[in-house]
Amino acid sequence: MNENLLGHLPAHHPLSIRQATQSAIFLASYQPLSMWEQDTLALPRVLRSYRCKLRAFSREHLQPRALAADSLTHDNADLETLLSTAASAGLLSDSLPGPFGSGSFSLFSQPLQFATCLKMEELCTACGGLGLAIGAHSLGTAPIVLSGRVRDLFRLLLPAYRRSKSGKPTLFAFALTEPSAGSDMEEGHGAAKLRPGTVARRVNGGYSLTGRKVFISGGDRADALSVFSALEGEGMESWTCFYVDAKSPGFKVVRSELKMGQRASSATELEFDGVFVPDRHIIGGLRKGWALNRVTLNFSRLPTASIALGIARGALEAAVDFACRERLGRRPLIDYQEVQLAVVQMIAETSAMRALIWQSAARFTPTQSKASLAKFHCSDRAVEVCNQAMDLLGNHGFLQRNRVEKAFRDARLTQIYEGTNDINRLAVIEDLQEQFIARMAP
Amino acid sequence: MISSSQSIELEKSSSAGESESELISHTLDLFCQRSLRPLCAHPERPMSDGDLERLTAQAEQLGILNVEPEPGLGLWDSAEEEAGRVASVATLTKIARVNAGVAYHWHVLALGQWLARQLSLSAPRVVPCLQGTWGMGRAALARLLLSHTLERDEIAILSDYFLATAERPLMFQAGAGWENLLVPRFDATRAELQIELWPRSAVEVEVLPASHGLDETATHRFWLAPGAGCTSVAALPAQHIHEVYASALSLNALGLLAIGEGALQHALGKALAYAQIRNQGGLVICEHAAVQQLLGNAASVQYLLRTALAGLCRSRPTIAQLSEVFSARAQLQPLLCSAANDALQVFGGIGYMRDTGIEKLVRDQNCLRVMHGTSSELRRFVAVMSLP
Repeated sequence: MNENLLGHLPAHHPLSIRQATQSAIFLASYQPLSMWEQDTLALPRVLRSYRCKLRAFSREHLQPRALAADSLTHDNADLETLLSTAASAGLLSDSLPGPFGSGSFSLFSQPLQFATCLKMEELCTACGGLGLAIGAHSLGTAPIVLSGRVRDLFRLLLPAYRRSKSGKPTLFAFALTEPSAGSDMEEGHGAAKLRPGTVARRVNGGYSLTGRKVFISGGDRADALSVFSALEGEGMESWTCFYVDAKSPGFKVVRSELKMGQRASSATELEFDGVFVPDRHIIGGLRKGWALNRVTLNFSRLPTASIALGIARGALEAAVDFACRERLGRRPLIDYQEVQLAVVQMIAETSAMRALIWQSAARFTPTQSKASLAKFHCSDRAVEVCNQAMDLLGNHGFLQRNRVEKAFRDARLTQIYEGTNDINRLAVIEDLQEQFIARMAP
Repeated sequence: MISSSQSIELEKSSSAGESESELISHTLDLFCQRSLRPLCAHPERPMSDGDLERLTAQAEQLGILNVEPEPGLGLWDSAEEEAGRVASVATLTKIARVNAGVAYHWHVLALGQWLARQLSLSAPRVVPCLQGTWGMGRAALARLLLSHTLERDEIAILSDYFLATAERPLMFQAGAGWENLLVPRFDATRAELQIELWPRSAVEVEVLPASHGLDETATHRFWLAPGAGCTSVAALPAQHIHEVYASALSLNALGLLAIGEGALQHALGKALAYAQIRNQGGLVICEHAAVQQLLGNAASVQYLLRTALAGLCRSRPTIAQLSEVFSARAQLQPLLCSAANDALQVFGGIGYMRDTGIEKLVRDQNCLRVMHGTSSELRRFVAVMSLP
């Protein structure tokens, strides 16, 4: 067993940092903890135990499945098993406290998106795709939760949560993007010039939806969908969010995309051909869809940043495993200075991402500027961390079994979904524009 | 189906009045258009081994890959001359503009042929396994090539670096159809390199599934089969072997950059075309500053690379020239990845899907970046070569 890495003093050496802090200066002493432990200790107590529970779940259930789930022809039955396990563990119903959902009551003393961010980081550290397969459900339910209508919660969400808690995963999907409009669906300036592709026509007792949605995460597994549509003859101002039962006549999954990464979670094209939605399945009220969409994005972009962070942490951990396992010249690679420098750079990047996310997630109401800033910054840095991990592994870096190339492919999607990064950059400006205008000369 | 090389041959012979280089370029254009491109129509479905082998045979028949013992007009055949290097870089760029994986496979086969000739060894379809177990042998490999006296640690590193056993196999990347390997071996007692020719029958090979990119090729782990005695050794002085090995490293680096340029041309062409038809915010997206920045970045990397390649082709591949070409790779290979990512970003969500083809180009550029020395390793190599 090595006592020290090359270029560093062993912990028992009188000149080491360990001796200085543990023996020499009592007030400055601290226990040698991992970065994960140090970060966890910085959390409010209720979130500490939540983070520990999620890491254990992720290691036991996601990590062993990650490489197989990345295959283009992965085993759907195994994903069903995982989703059932996640449902039983309460991961598909924890956006509400018990007895309605599975979240502990004390968890809700903290902002909901803080817990969601912790969840997505831990799940995606093991696998971005499996993490999304579980997490996309929260995005699907978000318009119902955020609408604040208790009646909708009881009627639309609670039956699904009850089934999930009993181990029968009941999934929601969030159907926003259309073939002719991706980014325009996510920012007001573009939406103002957009002709909506999905239209809801008034019929007796409700609405009839017609149109297509694309790149919908988990659309093929969803039991229900939050679908955004304009009202017939009106523009984007009329956007309304509809709860659509996936068994409704006229609803069809047209195709599932072949993705670069995050393959465990599907990206689907959905067709709505005169799908009837009763009035009572309007989420948040008529013509409230645009507002719900924007608010949902404010709540989902921090967890998206956490997906990126989790994937980057997965790449970092895989790189560290490699550097400690592989040897050159009778020494483990981690002994070499250039490897140590690369590892510490990745630790710094992920630590900075986490600090940014946690600082923003600690507010009960996330602002667009903070959420978008965290999303684009963390996803960009995550891709860079994955690049650094691939570089550290060198010619071993492009083998899937070493996990870092998969992490790159998974991370790359975080720069695109929930608004491309440039859309998110401009979203920060939109949210801050009054301040810029105030500084202009009259 | 691969279109017959005979029709290309026929057109080749009928192109009267063209200079030799124009004729080669014309033949290559026809080949890429008629034979290669149709097999790459579905980027989400990698080319089959059978199709790649048939294409390779056609390239050999047309002389794009020279299989004769004497140098011809094929890829890397005249690598000692500037015109030969320019032509090879142009050839690889053209092929990579259609498919970087095929370009990489042929680059490897052509470089193997060139290296075998330099070593007076004769064998068909040779893959040169230039890289050792991890990285670029830290500073030890550079110091060996510079004929410095090696420290004990450095000898241990190089012994480990070039070791190819069942417990510690070496790896190479190539497509189907290779028949021989050229494998550097380090003699720790003499602190010198030797290069051996290992026929496929003498090696144990494991093809590893699911590599990151260059889908037409695969990562192979290999080691000498127990009791295999049918290897050939280049009968040349160590210094000459070191020179030849360094030249192969240099040409390899040049080839990787050329393939990178072709793949970038491919990506940029796709992104430019898409940016002119996709609407967003009431405008075609090429009119948005954000998209212009992405396209401009990719285009400026292309310009930098083209300029660098033109400069690099002027120098003969030698030990001394290694620092030039490694410096270029250290700086440009990450830029190529960044440019490919920018091209993907222009597409938004659809760029992430395999059937668009743009994500494959990102993966291909990533592979070109991390194989045969990453930026960090190359910079260290250059630093050692720069020290007195």
